Amino acid sequence: MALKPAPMTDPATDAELLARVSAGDLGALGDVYQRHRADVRTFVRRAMNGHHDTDDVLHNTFLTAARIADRFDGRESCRPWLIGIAARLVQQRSQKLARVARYLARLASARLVAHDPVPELDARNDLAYALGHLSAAKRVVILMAEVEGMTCAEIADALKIPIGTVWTRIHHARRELLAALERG
Amino acid sequence: MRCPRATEVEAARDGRLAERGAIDRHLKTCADCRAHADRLDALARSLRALPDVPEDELAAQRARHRLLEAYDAVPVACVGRRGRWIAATAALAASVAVICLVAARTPTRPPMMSTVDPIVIDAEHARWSRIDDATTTTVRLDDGDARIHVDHRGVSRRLVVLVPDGELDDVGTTFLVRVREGHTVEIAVKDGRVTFVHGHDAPLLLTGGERWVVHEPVAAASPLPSPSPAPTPPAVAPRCISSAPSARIHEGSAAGSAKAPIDDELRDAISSLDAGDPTGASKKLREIVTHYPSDPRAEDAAYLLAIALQRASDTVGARAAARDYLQRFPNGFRRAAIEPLAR
Repeated sequence: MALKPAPMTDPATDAELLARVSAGDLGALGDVYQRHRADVRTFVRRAMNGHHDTDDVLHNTFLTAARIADRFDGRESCRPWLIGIAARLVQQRSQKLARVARYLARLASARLVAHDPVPELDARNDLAYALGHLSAAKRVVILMAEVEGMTCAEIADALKIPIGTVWTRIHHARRELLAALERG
Repeated sequence: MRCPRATEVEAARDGRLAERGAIDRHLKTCADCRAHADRLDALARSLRALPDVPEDELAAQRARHRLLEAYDAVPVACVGRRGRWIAATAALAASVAVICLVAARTPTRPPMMSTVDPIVIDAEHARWSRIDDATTTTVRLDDGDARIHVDHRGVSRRLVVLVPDGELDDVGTTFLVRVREGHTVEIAVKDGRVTFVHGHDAPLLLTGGERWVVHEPVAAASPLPSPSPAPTPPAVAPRCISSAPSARIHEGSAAGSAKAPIDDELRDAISSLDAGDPTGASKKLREIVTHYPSDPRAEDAAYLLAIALQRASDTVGARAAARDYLQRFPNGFRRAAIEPLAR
Protein backbone atom coordinates (compact mmCIF):
# COMPACT_ATOMS: atom_id res chain seq x y z
CA MET A 1 0.00 0.00 0.00
CA ALA A 2 1.36 3.39 -0.95
CA LEU A 3 2.03 5.71 1.93
CA LYS A 4 0.28 9.04 1.87
CA PRO A 5 2.46 12.12 2.19
CA ALA A 6 2.11 14.16 5.35
CA PRO A 7 -0.70 16.75 5.15
CA MET A 8 0.49 20.27 4.45
CA THR A 9 -0.26 22.78 7.19
CA ASP A 10 0.22 26.52 7.23
CA PRO A 11 3.52 27.34 8.91
CA ALA A 12 3.20 29.32 12.12
CA THR A 13 3.91 33.04 11.91
CA ASP A 14 6.89 34.52 13.72
CA ALA A 15 4.55 36.11 16.25
CA GLU A 16 2.87 32.75 16.96
CA LEU A 17 6.22 31.02 17.34
CA LEU A 18 7.55 33.68 19.71
CA ALA A 19 4.37 33.51 21.77
CA ARG A 20 5.00 29.78 22.12
CA VAL A 21 8.66 30.43 22.98
CA SER A 22 7.61 32.81 25.75
CA ALA A 23 5.41 30.02 27.10
CA GLY A 24 8.48 27.77 27.25
CA ASP A 25 8.05 25.81 24.01
CA LEU A 26 11.51 24.61 23.00
CA GLY A 27 10.34 23.35 19.62
CA ALA A 28 9.11 26.82 18.69
CA LEU A 29 12.51 28.27 19.54
CA GLY A 30 14.05 25.68 17.24
CA ASP A 31 11.70 26.77 14.46
CA VAL A 32 12.54 30.45 14.91
CA TYR A 33 16.21 29.55 14.86
CA GLN A 34 15.82 27.44 11.75
CA ARG A 35 13.91 30.20 9.96
CA HIS A 36 16.17 33.18 10.70
CA ARG A 37 19.52 31.73 11.58
CA ALA A 38 21.19 32.19 8.20
CA ASP A 39 20.18 35.86 7.86
CA VAL A 40 21.15 36.77 11.41
CA ARG A 41 24.43 34.94 11.06
CA THR A 42 25.28 36.83 7.88
CA PHE A 43 24.58 40.10 9.65
CA VAL A 44 26.64 39.16 12.72
CA ARG A 45 29.53 37.94 10.60
CA ARG A 46 29.68 41.20 8.68
CA ALA A 47 29.11 43.36 11.75
CA MET A 48 31.94 41.57 13.56
CA ASN A 49 34.19 41.65 10.55
CA GLY A 50 34.29 37.88 10.27
CA HIS A 51 35.58 37.45 13.82
CA HIS A 52 35.65 33.94 15.22
CA ASP A 53 33.25 34.96 18.02
CA THR A 54 30.44 35.15 15.45
CA ASP A 55 28.82 31.91 16.54
CA ASP A 56 28.86 32.93 20.22
CA VAL A 57 27.09 36.17 19.42
CA LEU A 58 24.62 34.32 17.20
CA HIS A 59 23.93 31.86 20.02
CA ASN A 60 23.41 34.68 22.51
CA THR A 61 21.15 36.51 20.08
CA PHE A 62 18.66 33.65 19.96
CA LEU A 63 19.02 32.94 23.67
CA THR A 64 18.26 36.60 24.43
CA ALA A 65 15.36 36.53 21.98
CA ALA A 66 13.94 33.51 23.80
CA ARG A 67 14.24 35.26 27.15
CA ILE A 68 12.43 38.37 25.99
CA ALA A 69 10.08 36.70 23.51
CA ASP A 70 7.08 38.10 25.35
CA ARG A 71 8.21 41.62 24.37
CA PHE A 72 8.05 40.97 20.62
CA ASP A 73 5.60 43.44 19.12
CA GLY A 74 3.93 40.92 16.82
CA ARG A 75 4.96 42.33 13.45
CA GLU A 76 4.97 40.00 10.46
CA SER A 77 8.66 39.12 10.53
CA CYS A 78 10.84 39.03 13.63
CA ARG A 79 14.00 39.40 11.57
CA PRO A 80 14.53 43.16 12.26
CA TRP A 81 13.90 42.48 15.94
CA LEU A 82 16.51 39.72 15.95
CA ILE A 83 18.92 41.93 14.02
CA GLY A 84 18.42 44.63 16.67
CA ILE A 85 19.27 42.18 19.44
CA ALA A 86 22.31 40.96 17.52
CA ALA A 87 23.47 44.53 16.87
CA ARG A 88 23.33 45.39 20.57
CA LEU A 89 25.32 42.27 21.43
CA VAL A 90 27.94 43.10 18.79
CA GLN A 91 28.29 46.60 20.21
CA GLN A 92 28.53 45.36 23.79
CA ARG A 93 31.22 42.93 22.75
CA SER A 94 33.25 45.53 20.88
CA GLN A 95 32.96 47.97 23.80
CA LYS A 96 34.19 45.25 26.14
CA LEU A 97 37.15 44.47 23.88
CA ALA A 98 37.99 48.16 23.60
CA ARG A 99 37.98 48.54 27.38
CA VAL A 100 40.30 45.55 27.75
CA ALA A 101 42.62 46.95 25.06
CA ARG A 102 42.75 50.34 26.78
CA TYR A 103 43.46 48.72 30.13
CA LEU A 104 46.26 46.61 28.67
CA ALA A 105 47.69 49.65 26.92
CA ARG A 106 47.85 51.50 30.21
CA LEU A 107 49.51 48.54 31.90
CA ALA A 108 52.14 48.21 29.22
CA SER A 109 52.54 51.97 28.74
CA ALA A 110 52.43 51.24 25.06
CA ARG A 111 49.88 51.58 22.32
CA LEU A 112 48.02 48.34 21.90
CA VAL A 113 45.44 47.82 19.24
CA ALA A 114 42.81 45.09 19.45
CA HIS A 115 43.43 43.99 15.93
CA ASP A 116 42.91 40.62 14.32
CA PRO A 117 44.66 40.38 10.93
CA VAL A 118 42.79 37.28 9.77
CA PRO A 119 39.58 39.04 8.65
CA GLU A 120 41.65 41.37 6.50
CA LEU A 121 43.30 38.45 4.80
CA ASP A 122 39.86 36.93 4.29
CA ALA A 123 38.39 40.13 2.87
CA ARG A 124 37.57 39.28 -0.70
CA ASN A 125 37.26 42.76 -2.10
CA ASP A 126 37.98 46.40 -1.37
CA LEU A 127 34.56 47.04 0.08
CA ALA A 128 34.82 44.16 2.54
CA TYR A 129 38.24 45.48 3.52
CA ALA A 130 36.92 49.03 3.98
CA LEU A 131 33.92 47.76 5.95
CA GLY A 132 36.30 45.90 8.23
CA HIS A 133 38.15 49.13 8.95
CA LEU A 134 35.06 51.02 10.11
CA SER A 135 34.48 51.25 13.83
CA ALA A 136 32.06 48.61 15.11
CA ALA A 137 29.47 51.29 15.88
CA LYS A 138 29.48 52.62 12.32
CA ARG A 139 29.66 49.18 10.76
CA VAL A 140 26.60 48.01 12.67
CA VAL A 141 24.41 50.95 11.67
CA ILE A 142 25.43 50.98 8.01
CA LEU A 143 24.66 47.26 7.74
CA MET A 144 21.33 47.70 9.50
CA ALA A 145 20.39 50.54 7.16
CA GLU A 146 21.72 49.45 3.80
CA VAL A 147 21.69 45.66 4.01
CA GLU A 148 18.82 44.96 6.39
CA GLY A 149 16.73 47.85 5.06
CA MET A 150 15.84 49.16 8.51
CA THR A 151 14.82 52.78 8.87
CA CYS A 152 16.89 55.14 11.00
CA ALA A 153 14.06 55.26 13.53
CA GLU A 154 14.04 51.46 13.77
CA ILE A 155 17.81 51.40 14.20
CA ALA A 156 17.68 54.05 16.92
CA ASP A 157 14.99 52.09 18.70
CA ALA A 158 16.89 48.80 18.42
CA LEU A 159 20.19 50.23 19.63
CA LYS A 160 18.63 52.57 22.20
CA ILE A 161 20.49 55.58 20.86
CA PRO A 162 19.21 58.96 19.60
CA ILE A 163 18.20 59.06 15.95
CA GLY A 164 20.65 61.91 15.40
CA THR A 165 23.46 59.58 16.40
CA VAL A 166 22.23 57.05 13.83
CA TRP A 167 22.21 59.70 11.08
CA THR A 168 25.71 60.81 12.01
CA ARG A 169 27.13 57.29 12.11
CA ILE A 170 25.57 56.34 8.78
CA HIS A 171 26.85 59.52 7.16
CA HIS A 172 30.41 58.97 8.38
CA ALA A 173 30.31 55.29 7.49
CA ARG A 174 29.25 56.09 3.93
CA ARG A 175 31.89 58.78 3.62
CA GLU A 176 34.65 56.47 4.83
CA LEU A 177 33.53 53.60 2.60
CA LEU A 178 33.28 55.78 -0.50
CA ALA A 179 36.65 57.36 0.22
CA ALA A 180 38.27 53.96 0.69
CA LEU A 181 36.78 52.68 -2.54
CA GLU A 182 37.94 55.74 -4.45
CA ARG A 183 41.46 55.32 -3.07
CA GLY A 184 41.26 51.74 -4.35
CA MET B 1 30.32 67.32 -5.06
CA ARG B 2 30.08 70.88 -6.11
CA CYS B 3 26.31 71.41 -5.65
CA PRO B 4 25.50 72.89 -2.22
CA ARG B 5 22.33 70.75 -2.07
CA ALA B 6 24.23 67.45 -2.31
CA THR B 7 23.90 66.89 1.43
CA GLU B 8 20.13 66.82 1.02
CA VAL B 9 20.44 63.70 -1.16
CA GLU B 10 21.68 61.69 1.78
CA ALA B 11 19.28 63.40 4.17
CA ALA B 12 16.36 62.37 1.95
CA ARG B 13 17.66 58.84 1.77
CA ASP B 14 17.79 58.56 5.57
CA GLY B 15 14.33 60.05 6.10
CA ARG B 16 15.67 63.26 7.58
CA LEU B 17 13.69 65.54 5.26
CA ALA B 18 10.10 66.30 6.11
CA GLU B 19 9.33 66.92 2.45
CA ARG B 20 11.38 65.28 -0.27
CA GLY B 21 9.53 66.56 -3.33
CA ALA B 22 11.93 69.48 -3.70
CA ILE B 23 15.06 67.34 -3.71
CA ASP B 24 13.44 64.86 -6.12
CA ARG B 25 12.74 67.73 -8.55
CA HIS B 26 16.27 69.01 -8.02
CA LEU B 27 17.72 65.57 -8.84
CA LYS B 28 16.13 65.73 -12.28
CA THR B 29 18.08 68.83 -13.17
CA CYS B 30 21.35 68.55 -11.20
CA ALA B 31 23.88 66.09 -12.62
CA ASP B 32 26.14 66.52 -9.59
CA CYS B 33 23.46 65.45 -7.10
CA ARG B 34 22.26 62.66 -9.38
CA ALA B 35 25.80 61.28 -9.52
CA HIS B 36 25.99 61.42 -5.72
CA ALA B 37 22.67 59.59 -5.42
CA ASP B 38 23.92 56.95 -7.84
CA ARG B 39 27.09 56.48 -5.79
CA LEU B 40 25.05 55.97 -2.63
CA ASP B 41 22.80 53.47 -4.43
CA ALA B 42 25.83 51.62 -5.78
CA LEU B 43 27.38 51.48 -2.29
CA ALA B 44 24.19 50.01 -0.85
CA ARG B 45 23.98 47.43 -3.64
CA SER B 46 27.61 46.44 -3.13
CA LEU B 47 27.13 46.07 0.61
CA ARG B 48 24.14 43.79 0.03
CA ALA B 49 26.15 41.75 -2.47
CA LEU B 50 29.12 41.17 -0.18
CA PRO B 51 29.97 37.48 -0.21
CA ASP B 52 29.31 35.44 2.90
CA VAL B 53 30.94 32.26 4.08
CA PRO B 54 28.37 29.47 3.95
CA GLU B 55 28.08 27.21 6.96
CA ASP B 56 27.67 23.48 6.70
CA GLU B 57 24.38 21.95 7.74
CA LEU B 58 25.90 19.80 10.46
CA ALA B 59 27.44 22.78 12.23
CA ALA B 60 24.08 24.54 12.01
CA GLN B 61 22.29 21.57 13.59
CA ARG B 62 24.89 21.36 16.35
CA ALA B 63 24.50 25.04 17.05
CA ARG B 64 20.72 24.61 17.17
CA HIS B 65 21.08 21.73 19.61
CA ARG B 66 23.41 23.81 21.81
CA LEU B 67 20.93 26.67 21.80
CA LEU B 68 17.98 24.51 22.81
CA GLU B 69 20.02 22.83 25.52
CA ALA B 70 21.15 26.19 26.88
CA TYR B 71 17.60 27.54 26.94
CA ASP B 72 16.25 24.35 28.47
CA ALA B 73 18.88 24.45 31.20
CA VAL B 74 17.88 27.87 32.56
CA PRO B 75 14.10 28.08 32.34
CA VAL B 76 13.74 30.08 35.54
CA ALA B 77 17.04 31.80 36.21
CA CYS B 78 17.00 33.55 32.85
CA VAL B 79 14.08 35.81 33.46
CA GLY B 80 16.19 38.80 34.47
CA ARG B 81 15.07 41.86 36.37
CA ARG B 82 11.47 41.42 35.40
CA GLY B 83 11.57 37.84 36.64
CA ARG B 84 13.05 38.90 39.97
CA TRP B 85 10.25 41.42 40.34
CA ILE B 86 7.70 38.74 39.57
CA ALA B 87 9.38 36.40 42.05
CA ALA B 88 9.27 39.09 44.73
CA THR B 89 5.59 39.67 43.99
CA ALA B 90 4.94 35.93 44.14
CA ALA B 91 6.71 35.73 47.51
CA LEU B 92 4.62 38.61 48.85
CA ALA B 93 1.48 37.02 47.48
CA ALA B 94 2.41 33.72 49.09
CA SER B 95 2.84 35.44 52.47
CA VAL B 96 -0.59 37.00 52.14
CA ALA B 97 -2.00 33.63 51.13
CA VAL B 98 -0.49 31.94 54.23
CA ILE B 99 -2.02 34.62 56.51
CA CYS B 100 -5.38 34.11 54.85
CA LEU B 101 -5.07 30.35 55.28
CA VAL B 102 -4.37 30.70 58.99
CA ALA B 103 -7.40 32.99 59.33
CA ALA B 104 -9.77 30.67 57.52
CA ARG B 105 -8.67 27.06 57.29
CA THR B 106 -11.59 26.04 55.13
CA PRO B 107 -10.89 24.09 51.95
CA THR B 108 -12.11 26.32 49.16
CA ARG B 109 -12.10 26.22 45.43
CA PRO B 110 -9.80 28.98 44.17
CA PRO B 111 -10.60 31.41 41.37
CA MET B 112 -9.44 30.36 37.93
CA MET B 113 -5.96 31.43 36.90
CA SER B 114 -5.28 33.44 40.04
CA THR B 115 -2.46 35.91 39.52
CA VAL B 116 -1.25 35.89 43.12
CA ASP B 117 -1.32 32.19 43.84
CA PRO B 118 1.96 30.38 43.12
CA ILE B 119 -0.14 27.35 42.14
CA VAL B 120 -2.28 28.26 39.16
CA ILE B 121 -4.88 25.76 38.03
CA ASP B 122 -6.84 26.14 34.83
CA ALA B 123 -9.53 23.48 34.85
CA GLU B 124 -12.66 25.21 33.72
CA HIS B 125 -14.66 22.20 32.55
CA ALA B 126 -13.14 19.64 34.86
CA ARG B 127 -14.46 18.04 38.05
CA TRP B 128 -11.88 18.83 40.69
CA SER B 129 -11.26 20.16 44.18
CA ARG B 130 -8.39 21.65 46.10
CA ILE B 131 -7.30 21.50 49.71
CA ASP B 132 -4.44 23.57 51.12
CA ASP B 133 -2.68 22.93 54.37
CA ALA B 134 0.45 24.55 55.81
CA THR B 135 2.91 22.83 53.48
CA THR B 136 0.97 20.97 50.82
CA THR B 137 -1.67 21.70 48.26
CA THR B 138 -3.69 18.66 47.28
CA VAL B 139 -5.66 18.80 44.05
CA ARG B 140 -8.11 16.02 43.35
CA LEU B 141 -8.94 15.69 39.65
CA ASP B 142 -11.89 13.37 39.04
CA ASP B 143 -12.52 14.11 35.38
CA GLY B 144 -11.47 16.53 32.66
CA ASP B 145 -8.36 18.52 31.82
CA ALA B 146 -6.32 20.51 34.31
CA ARG B 147 -3.46 22.75 33.27
CA ILE B 148 -1.32 23.41 36.31
CA HIS B 149 1.55 25.83 36.82
CA VAL B 150 3.55 25.89 40.01
CA ASP B 151 5.97 28.72 40.66
CA HIS B 152 8.53 27.56 43.18
CA ARG B 153 10.60 30.71 42.97
CA GLY B 154 8.74 32.47 45.73
CA VAL B 155 7.51 29.62 47.93
CA SER B 156 8.32 26.00 48.60
CA ARG B 157 4.90 24.36 48.70
CA ARG B 158 4.41 20.77 47.72
CA LEU B 159 1.71 20.03 45.19
CA VAL B 160 0.09 16.63 45.01
CA VAL B 161 -2.43 15.87 42.29
CA LEU B 162 -4.66 12.90 43.02
CA VAL B 163 -6.10 11.24 39.94
CA PRO B 164 -8.49 8.24 40.11
CA ASP B 165 -5.77 5.76 39.26
CA GLY B 166 -2.66 7.38 40.67
CA GLU B 167 -0.90 10.38 42.08
CA LEU B 168 1.38 13.12 40.75
CA ASP B 169 3.96 14.91 42.80
CA ASP B 170 5.10 18.18 41.34
CA VAL B 171 8.56 19.65 41.72
CA GLY B 172 7.89 23.10 40.24
CA THR B 173 6.61 23.05 36.73
CA THR B 174 3.90 23.58 34.15
CA PHE B 175 1.96 20.53 33.11
CA LEU B 176 -1.33 19.18 31.85
CA VAL B 177 -3.27 16.25 33.33
CA ARG B 178 -6.14 14.67 31.42
CA VAL B 179 -8.56 12.23 33.10
CA ARG B 180 -11.37 10.39 31.31
CA GLU B 181 -13.89 8.03 32.93
CA GLY B 182 -11.78 7.30 35.96
CA HIS B 183 -8.51 6.86 34.08
CA THR B 184 -5.56 9.13 33.55
CA VAL B 185 -5.10 9.29 29.79
CA GLU B 186 -2.42 11.92 29.39
CA ILE B 187 0.20 13.90 31.29
CA ALA B 188 2.19 16.46 29.34
CA VAL B 189 4.99 18.33 31.12
CA LYS B 190 5.91 21.65 29.58
CA ASP B 191 8.79 22.40 31.90
CA GLY B 192 10.14 21.31 35.27
CA ARG B 193 9.61 17.80 36.64
CA VAL B 194 6.68 15.67 37.72
CA THR B 195 6.69 12.30 39.41
CA PHE B 196 3.76 10.10 38.46
CA VAL B 197 2.77 6.96 40.34
CA HIS B 198 0.31 5.02 38.22
CA GLY B 199 -1.53 2.32 40.15
CA HIS B 200 1.05 0.06 41.74
CA ASP B 201 3.74 0.83 39.18
CA ALA B 202 7.11 2.25 40.05
CA PRO B 203 7.24 6.08 40.13
CA LEU B 204 7.86 7.62 36.74
CA LEU B 205 9.79 10.87 36.38
CA LEU B 206 8.61 13.16 33.58
CA THR B 207 10.66 16.20 32.66
CA GLY B 208 10.04 19.23 30.44
CA GLY B 209 8.81 18.32 26.96
CA GLU B 210 7.90 14.76 27.93
CA ARG B 211 4.45 13.28 27.72
CA TRP B 212 2.79 10.19 29.10
CA VAL B 213 -0.22 8.85 27.29
CA VAL B 214 -2.30 5.76 27.62
CA HIS B 215 -2.82 3.86 24.41
CA GLU B 216 -6.03 2.16 25.44
CA PRO B 217 -9.06 3.47 23.53
CA VAL B 218 -11.19 5.55 25.90
CA ALA B 219 -14.80 6.27 25.13
CA ALA B 220 -15.84 9.92 24.89
CA ALA B 221 -12.25 11.07 25.08
CA SER B 222 -11.38 14.42 23.64
CA PRO B 223 -9.33 14.08 20.46
CA LEU B 224 -5.79 13.10 21.32
CA PRO B 225 -3.13 13.02 18.64
CA SER B 226 -2.83 9.54 17.25
CA PRO B 227 0.68 8.18 17.59
CA SER B 228 0.57 6.28 14.38
CA PRO B 229 -1.77 5.22 11.61
CA ALA B 230 -0.49 1.70 12.17
CA PRO B 231 -2.98 -0.68 13.82
CA THR B 232 -2.76 -0.63 17.60
CA PRO B 233 -3.17 -3.83 19.63
CA PRO B 234 -6.26 -3.69 21.85
CA ALA B 235 -4.76 -3.75 25.34
CA VAL B 236 -1.40 -2.10 25.28
CA ALA B 237 0.20 -1.18 28.55
CA PRO B 238 0.24 2.50 29.47
CA ARG B 239 3.49 4.07 28.33
CA CYS B 240 5.28 7.33 28.59
CA ILE B 241 6.64 8.77 25.41
CA SER B 242 9.24 11.48 25.34
CA SER B 243 8.81 14.30 22.88
CA ALA B 244 11.84 16.20 24.15
CA PRO B 245 15.03 16.54 22.12
CA SER B 246 16.82 14.49 24.75
CA ALA B 247 15.06 11.47 23.27
CA ARG B 248 14.61 9.56 26.48
CA ILE B 249 11.87 7.01 26.85
CA HIS B 250 10.31 5.79 30.05
CA GLU B 251 8.01 2.83 30.13
CA GLY B 252 5.46 2.04 32.80
CA SER B 253 5.51 -1.63 33.69
CA ALA B 254 1.87 -2.65 33.72
CA ALA B 255 1.34 -5.62 35.98
CA GLY B 256 0.74 -8.82 34.11
CA SER B 257 1.57 -7.53 30.67
CA ALA B 258 3.70 -9.86 28.58
CA LYS B 259 7.02 -8.41 27.57
CA ALA B 260 7.52 -8.46 23.78
CA PRO B 261 10.99 -8.91 22.24
CA ILE B 262 10.75 -5.39 20.87
CA ASP B 263 10.86 -4.08 24.44
CA ASP B 264 14.30 -5.52 25.04
CA GLU B 265 15.57 -4.48 21.64
CA LEU B 266 14.32 -0.94 22.07
CA ARG B 267 15.74 -0.71 25.56
CA ASP B 268 19.06 -2.00 24.27
CA ALA B 269 19.10 0.59 21.48
CA ILE B 270 18.26 3.41 23.89
CA SER B 271 21.03 2.25 26.23
CA SER B 272 23.48 2.46 23.33
CA LEU B 273 22.26 5.95 22.51
CA ASP B 274 22.53 7.08 26.13
CA ALA B 275 26.00 5.51 26.35
CA GLY B 276 27.22 7.69 23.49
CA ASP B 277 27.17 5.05 20.76
CA PRO B 278 24.78 6.58 18.20
CA THR B 279 26.12 4.42 15.36
CA GLY B 280 25.41 1.19 17.23
CA ALA B 281 22.05 2.55 18.36
CA SER B 282 21.06 3.48 14.82
CA LYS B 283 21.75 -0.07 13.59
CA LYS B 284 19.58 -1.56 16.32
CA LEU B 285 16.84 0.98 15.77
CA ARG B 286 16.81 0.38 12.04
CA GLU B 287 16.28 -3.34 12.70
CA ILE B 288 13.38 -2.58 15.01
CA VAL B 289 11.79 -0.28 12.45
CA THR B 290 12.20 -2.95 9.77
CA HIS B 291 11.11 -5.97 11.79
CA TYR B 292 8.19 -4.46 13.70
CA PRO B 293 6.62 -2.00 11.26
CA SER B 294 3.12 -2.27 12.74
CA ASP B 295 4.06 -2.26 16.41
CA PRO B 296 3.10 0.98 18.18
CA ARG B 297 6.68 1.26 19.44
CA ALA B 298 7.91 1.44 15.86
CA GLU B 299 7.15 5.16 16.02
CA ASP B 300 9.53 5.59 18.96
CA ALA B 301 12.16 3.61 17.11
CA ALA B 302 11.70 5.60 13.89
CA TYR B 303 12.05 8.87 15.78
CA LEU B 304 15.08 7.73 17.73
CA LEU B 305 16.66 6.41 14.53
CA ALA B 306 16.69 9.92 13.08
CA ILE B 307 18.14 11.30 16.33
CA ALA B 308 20.80 8.60 16.50
CA LEU B 309 21.88 9.22 12.91
CA GLN B 310 22.05 12.95 13.58
CA ARG B 311 24.22 12.34 16.62
CA ALA B 312 26.39 10.04 14.52
CA SER B 313 26.96 13.00 12.16
CA ASP B 314 25.13 11.19 9.35
CA THR B 315 23.14 14.21 8.21
CA VAL B 316 21.91 12.62 5.01
CA GLY B 317 20.78 9.46 6.81
CA ALA B 318 19.13 11.52 9.56
CA ARG B 319 17.21 13.54 6.99
CA ALA B 320 16.05 10.37 5.21
CA ALA B 321 15.00 8.81 8.53
CA ALA B 322 13.14 11.97 9.53
CA ARG B 323 11.29 12.04 6.21
CA ASP B 324 10.46 8.38 6.58
CA TYR B 325 9.05 9.09 10.05
CA LEU B 326 6.89 11.92 8.72
CA GLN B 327 5.58 9.73 5.91
CA ARG B 328 4.77 6.78 8.11
CA PHE B 329 3.43 8.73 11.08
CA PRO B 330 1.87 11.90 9.69
CA ASN B 331 0.12 12.53 13.03
CA GLY B 332 2.99 11.30 15.16
CA PHE B 333 3.83 12.80 18.54
CA ARG B 334 7.28 13.89 17.43
CA ARG B 335 6.20 15.55 14.24
CA ALA B 336 7.13 19.06 15.40
CA ALA B 337 10.44 17.89 16.84
CA ILE B 338 11.49 15.96 13.76
CA GLU B 339 10.39 18.35 11.02
CA PRO B 340 13.55 20.50 11.23
CA LEU B 341 15.65 17.37 10.70
CA ALA B 342 13.71 16.49 7.55
CA ARG B 343 14.49 19.81 5.84
